[in-house]
Amino acid sequence: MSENRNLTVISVLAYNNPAVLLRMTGLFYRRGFNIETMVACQTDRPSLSRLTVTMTGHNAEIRQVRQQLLKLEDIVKVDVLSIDDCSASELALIKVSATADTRKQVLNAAQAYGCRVLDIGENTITLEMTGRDEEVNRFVRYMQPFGIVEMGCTGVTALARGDTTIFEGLDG
Amino acid sequence: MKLNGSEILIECLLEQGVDTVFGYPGGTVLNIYDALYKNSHRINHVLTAHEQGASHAADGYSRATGKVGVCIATSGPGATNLVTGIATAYMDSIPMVAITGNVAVNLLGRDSFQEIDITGVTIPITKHNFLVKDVNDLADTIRLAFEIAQSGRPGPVLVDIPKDVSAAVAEYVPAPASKPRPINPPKPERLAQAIEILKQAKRPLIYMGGGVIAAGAYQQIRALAEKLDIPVCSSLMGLGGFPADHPLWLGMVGMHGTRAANIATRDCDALIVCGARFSDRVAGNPKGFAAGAKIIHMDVDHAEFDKNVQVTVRLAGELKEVLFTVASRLEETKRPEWIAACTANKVEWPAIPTDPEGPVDPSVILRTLRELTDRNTILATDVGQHQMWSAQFYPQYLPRHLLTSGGLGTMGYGMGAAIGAQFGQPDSRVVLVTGDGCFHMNLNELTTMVSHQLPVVVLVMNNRVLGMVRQWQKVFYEKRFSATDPERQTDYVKLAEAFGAKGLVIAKNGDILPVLSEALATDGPVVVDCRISKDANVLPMIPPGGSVENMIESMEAYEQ
Ligand SMILES: Cc1ncc(C[n+]2csc(CCOP(=O)(O)OP(=O)(O)O)c2C)c(N)n1
Ligand SMILES: [Mg+2]
Repeated sequence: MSENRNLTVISVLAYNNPAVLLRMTGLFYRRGFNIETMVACQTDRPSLSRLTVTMTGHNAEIRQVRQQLLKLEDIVKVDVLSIDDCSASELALIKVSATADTRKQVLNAAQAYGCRVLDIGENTITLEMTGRDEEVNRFVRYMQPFGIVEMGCTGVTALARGDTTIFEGLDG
Repeated sequence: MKLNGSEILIECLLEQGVDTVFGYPGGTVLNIYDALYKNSHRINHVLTAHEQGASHAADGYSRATGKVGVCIATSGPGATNLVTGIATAYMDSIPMVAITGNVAVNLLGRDSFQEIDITGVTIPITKHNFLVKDVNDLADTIRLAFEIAQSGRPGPVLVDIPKDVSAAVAEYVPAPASKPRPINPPKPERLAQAIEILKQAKRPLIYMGGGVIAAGAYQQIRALAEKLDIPVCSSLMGLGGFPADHPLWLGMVGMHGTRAANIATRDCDALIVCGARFSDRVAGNPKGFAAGAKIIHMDVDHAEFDKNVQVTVRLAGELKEVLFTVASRLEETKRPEWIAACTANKVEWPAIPTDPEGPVDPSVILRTLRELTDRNTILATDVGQHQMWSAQFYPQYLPRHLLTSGGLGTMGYGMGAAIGAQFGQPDSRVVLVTGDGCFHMNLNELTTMVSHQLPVVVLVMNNRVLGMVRQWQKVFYEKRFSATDPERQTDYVKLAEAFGAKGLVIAKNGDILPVLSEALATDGPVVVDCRISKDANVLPMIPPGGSVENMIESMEAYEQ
């Protein structure tokens, strides 16, 4: 099929039951769904969690993922959004080496990219970058020449644009 | 009313209308077995020889009755012994509730004696499962388990109950039996699209599967086929959902399906797929399957659409309702040419050989059995060549009368399934067709049949080889018969007698009729050693990945 393979956000609302992550990841594994990122968090409703999954695939594949997810008893709702229809963001913590010579440059770059400086060590600076995945990647590439000593990254979390929410259509 | 967890479990099973459970005791289910003992006048517990037997019995009970099957096992090895039976039920969408004991809550997670994370183990093979850590949640969990098992596309649910939970006391408040959840009807525009396709169709075909049996949609599928004059074929799982003596019946479709059914899928211009899932045993080549047809897929499970084969219209919904709606919106049609073209491909069975000293042909055993038994006879099978011969040569006229492991292909399924079916349908005759390989897997359950004097006829199609695997070695591995010729010396008659059953032998063609008659007249379990040739094949055969063009119809012709 010549259909485009787009980066898709799958927003899942699930009951907070102990094995819900295991059930979801097991499903992705055994059905061979190639997910890119997955982020879990609480919602303002105590019994419900939100899981944000990103995946690149044809419409038919994404549809299959959604339908298989909906068969899991703990899953309440699955919304599929194109990445362009969401406010999306991820977070990276980057520890960059910073000698007396380069420290200034690193801090300037951080400021230019709107990063927070979280920590300054003897030979390193730890920065926090948030944004869309291409922005984060661009920043990481920019910092590489300074020497990235360590890095941690979350996956994408996303909300639909406009006034719609994942809770729409749920009673109570 | 204050009850302990085990008593609550029994009350909840009774609420659901459960009268028979299959199981095996052990340390962590002692409380449950104590409650079963005290309630033995209200609920029947059948002790099997092995937990696998109990799981297949619960499955066979469910397939034969349409009710939810229940099995019980202790923690650790008891629970893991259920796994094959749960997976078998999962693959064939059979409603089942499996109850396991586990170590006390404070011992969980410490590798305690006989502790297994059975909910973790069974996530991929259950619709859902539960670990109940608080006795106050137990009753509603059991009710929910029954609801899930029966809702939508049915399947197994496991409830794991730690030992202290089965002893702890809670308030029990009775509740009515769980009901399956309501199912939304298909979208009107999709229905309209399907109707339009069927109006235009010149060569429509129905391919049905186990979903028709699960939904009880036999009348509706027949009504649609008759009103629109549409020929019908079925997967292994759908056999019995449409009467095999109906003029529109083309037989089983797929790898070992009939020539008529497979050619019809190639030639049709509209295919109604009803409660079936295009498994690789049906659509070996998914791209080439019904390539010239618009496909209308009716199923209760939305995830089945476009999973294996891309379809034209998806009709999600309750099958009875969907079939009824579609039929009611279309005019009666006659298409004698298409029907004639389809039925012309039906292959007549050869005459039954009359030489009494001749060799024993498995198809003749099955055809003779068909003549000797009424339509209410339940046929359980194991897995292998004998299973396919059973599907081919023991035509089904009624739903829920063929019990066979289609999705998982579980060798050893048959003994337990036959036991479960006989408990579920005490007035029906139950016959098990097994192979020498399968029988050796779970023949221990002969002891269960003897304890309960179940009049099950066990036909061992004894080719002395793992015939189906050997057939593949013949066709695809240049006859290198690796590990398929075990040269077992088992004396089946002595074996049966040692268990307290009757043993008979069919050694030549002339034995078939008298020995089958004797077996069927026996009041208690009988094992019949049916000595067939190790070289008999299951034909026709479409090799994996192939289409009807690649169908092997004669081994001699293929080998040249
Ligand atoms: C539990 C299990 N193990 C292995 C297989 C693979 N298998 C499929 S058919 C078959 C041979 C069955 O032999 P037998 O029961 O003698 O039946 P036959 O084909 O000879 O009729 C085997 C080994 C299986 N389906 N199930
Ligand atoms: Mg054999």
